[in-house]
Amino acid sequence: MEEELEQKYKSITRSVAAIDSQSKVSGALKYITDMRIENMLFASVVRSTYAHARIISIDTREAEKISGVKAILTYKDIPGLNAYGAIVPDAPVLAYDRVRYYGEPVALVAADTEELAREAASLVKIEYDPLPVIRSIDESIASEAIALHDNGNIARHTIIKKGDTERAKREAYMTLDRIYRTPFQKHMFLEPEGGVAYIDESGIINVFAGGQSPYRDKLQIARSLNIPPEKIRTVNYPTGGAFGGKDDITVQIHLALLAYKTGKPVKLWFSREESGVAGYHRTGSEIHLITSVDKEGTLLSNEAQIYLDTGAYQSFGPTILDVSIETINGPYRIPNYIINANLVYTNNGFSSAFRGFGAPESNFAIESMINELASELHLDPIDMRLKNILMTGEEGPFGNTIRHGDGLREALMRAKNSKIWNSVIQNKKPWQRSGVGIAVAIKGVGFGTLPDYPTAAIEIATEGKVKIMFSNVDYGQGINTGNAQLVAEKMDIPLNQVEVRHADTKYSPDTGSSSASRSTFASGNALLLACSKALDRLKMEACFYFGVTSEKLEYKEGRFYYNDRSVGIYELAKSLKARGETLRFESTFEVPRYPAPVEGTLEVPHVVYMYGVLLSSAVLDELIGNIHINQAEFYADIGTVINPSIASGQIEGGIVQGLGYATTEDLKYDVNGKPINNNYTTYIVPSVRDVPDIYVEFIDSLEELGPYGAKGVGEISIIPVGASVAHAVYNASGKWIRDLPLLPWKVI
Amino acid sequence: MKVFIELGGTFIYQFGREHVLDLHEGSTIEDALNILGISERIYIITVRNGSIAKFNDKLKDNDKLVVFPPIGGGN
Repeated sequence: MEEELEQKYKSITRSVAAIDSQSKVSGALKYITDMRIENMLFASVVRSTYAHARIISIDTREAEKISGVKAILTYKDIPGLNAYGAIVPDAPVLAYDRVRYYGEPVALVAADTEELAREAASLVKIEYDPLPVIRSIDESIASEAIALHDNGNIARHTIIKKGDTERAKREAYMTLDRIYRTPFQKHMFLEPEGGVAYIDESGIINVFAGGQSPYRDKLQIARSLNIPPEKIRTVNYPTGGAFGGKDDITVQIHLALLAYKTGKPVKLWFSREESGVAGYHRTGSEIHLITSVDKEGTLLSNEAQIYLDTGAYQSFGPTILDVSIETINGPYRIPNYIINANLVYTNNGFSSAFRGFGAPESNFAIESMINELASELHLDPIDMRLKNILMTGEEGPFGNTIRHGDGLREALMRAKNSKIWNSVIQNKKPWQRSGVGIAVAIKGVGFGTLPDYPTAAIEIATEGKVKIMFSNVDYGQGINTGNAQLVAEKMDIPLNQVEVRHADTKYSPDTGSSSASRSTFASGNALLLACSKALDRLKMEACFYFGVTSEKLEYKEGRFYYNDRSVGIYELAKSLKARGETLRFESTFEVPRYPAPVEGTLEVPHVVYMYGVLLSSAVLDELIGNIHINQAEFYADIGTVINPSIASGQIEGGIVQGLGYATTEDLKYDVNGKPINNNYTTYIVPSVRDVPDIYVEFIDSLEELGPYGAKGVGEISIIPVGASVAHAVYNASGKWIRDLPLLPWKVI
Repeated sequence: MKVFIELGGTFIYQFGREHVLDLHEGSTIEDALNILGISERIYIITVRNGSIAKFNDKLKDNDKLVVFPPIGGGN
């Protein structure tokens, strides 16, 4: 198949090196937090030292006395809306009457040096009246709980039903009732949140910051500064890792506000500890499932009660809840279900987007449940899944039509025939026990039923380059390379003739955010449309050049041919330019979606789904409870693979990040709501020694709606890790663990 | 003239999802938003017949206007 594809395509389906890899490896590439501007000020954020308290007073007088301090800003200095949040703006830019998490921003300081800024920040006196700290979902929904917001402690509640679960349970051979819990997870990107802002000669506020959604950031800044969005430019490149943690606002509004108030360039970046305290994390979850099957393992019903802990504010919480809802039935045919879903406020920091976006939480529950049911029924868990997965053309759980269920079936068949699934592991030591686990993942590509109109542009540069522009940020996932390959393929030119302009609202059209595994699908499709537009125009020019009609022309390798004569696209571009015509071609792609969301949801269902099957092989040390995953195999249905090397890297990275989530990462808050483990010493992420041998196999698959058949890849592999590893641990130890992470004391 | 309007995201809960407005010739997107009672002018995206549009763009008979807050999901 690979060979066939290599013949079919010239630039895609090939593992070319990421176009910025040399500059990254050599250190030549400077990240945004490396930026320095002459005469820039340094900012520091005064943060709440309480997780929940009323603010009695804010006294900046002592801090103002420090020489070199140029600005101290509080909520009074915000010209516009003192709130942000991608979906619901409920988080204050600067707290005014109350703080709801430890580390919440209360004031901003800008000074000549970083040290002065920190010193002044430490002198801002805030008087608090402490309030009870809500530390868990249970505490939050208790009737006597103090309300964290005007609308109470449940930020969103919805119920979605189909069929009759009561009847299904009555008729079922077996019903299991289980509660599954997952922890908060920190993003731990290598480059913490940060950026630089300055006002240029034309009065535009330029905000260079690590981010994932330049246009949405721009609008959120404009809303708080109360200035037209046209007065703001956001640039998000290069960004040293994001994983969802930079999708909503981090430093952007603070930076813009300080630059706006001081008129000077300002830099603000978080230390690792500050990122640990003030940065976002994944929602914690508690999911209660009651699932019924018949004797042969056919799923009959699923009752799900989902609680997600969004922390102090919502950010993406409402849509994260939607993804949890959409994935709680897995990729399975379940005729009867009832989903009672809740997004709950607590004082546990601030949850936001994180790779998988509500799917890892639901997946741990439903996939663990499937494994438990298979075990109880003495069925092979792969056979049970094969029996229940929705196939191509079937109606999905939310009235949607399954487009490519056959890809998942193939992935399961390959897993079933794999070596590790069929091998008997020999333990090297008497205290070791081994087991192999399985889980399946499903995840929608893009924003479901939400309107999505990504726009991208290409420019035929007369010096022999095709420049491409889109607002998806390359924060390491390789979208710049993948898109360059797509354009090279479409324009039939060598890859080195494609030049990518990084996400920058001054030049790049609004392609939307780099999230939801959507960038390839969204910007790729928009770029292909822009290429078609450019080729159409160039063809007309070629007709003029040769004096013939278009059907007589042939296009190949960047040139139009008429008999034995030819003309190149750059030459044609020169003549267009000479006539004053634009060489920039912009197109909008309307992302296919169902006409309306399922009642009770914002964006369910999606049209396009990615699938994956993860086998993991665990070695358990019975003496100390340590789990080592020594092998992992991932079978992925992600449509056409634009760059197999980058896609494999994404899958391997997701698995390793998932292993941290499954086995060691456990963000904890103390009794006062202060995060305990906020750096790499105390918050344990996998190191290179923890990384298993990972084998990745792509299923031959083509999604007709995607660019050259591609779907997406960014999130799919992290989603099944928790359930797959928990299953492996069960097979090693005979113990089901239903709350992640699988720490030693839970295992032995 | 008739203009078909679809609202998206959280706007649905405030203003409903689908609307058909009978507007005077020369009406703009701004006029349509005012009739619907949508006062937001910064955190909002307007798409007319599949292309990003500005508030002062004029509408035509049978135009399809999609209005939604910037969106996100599924990171």
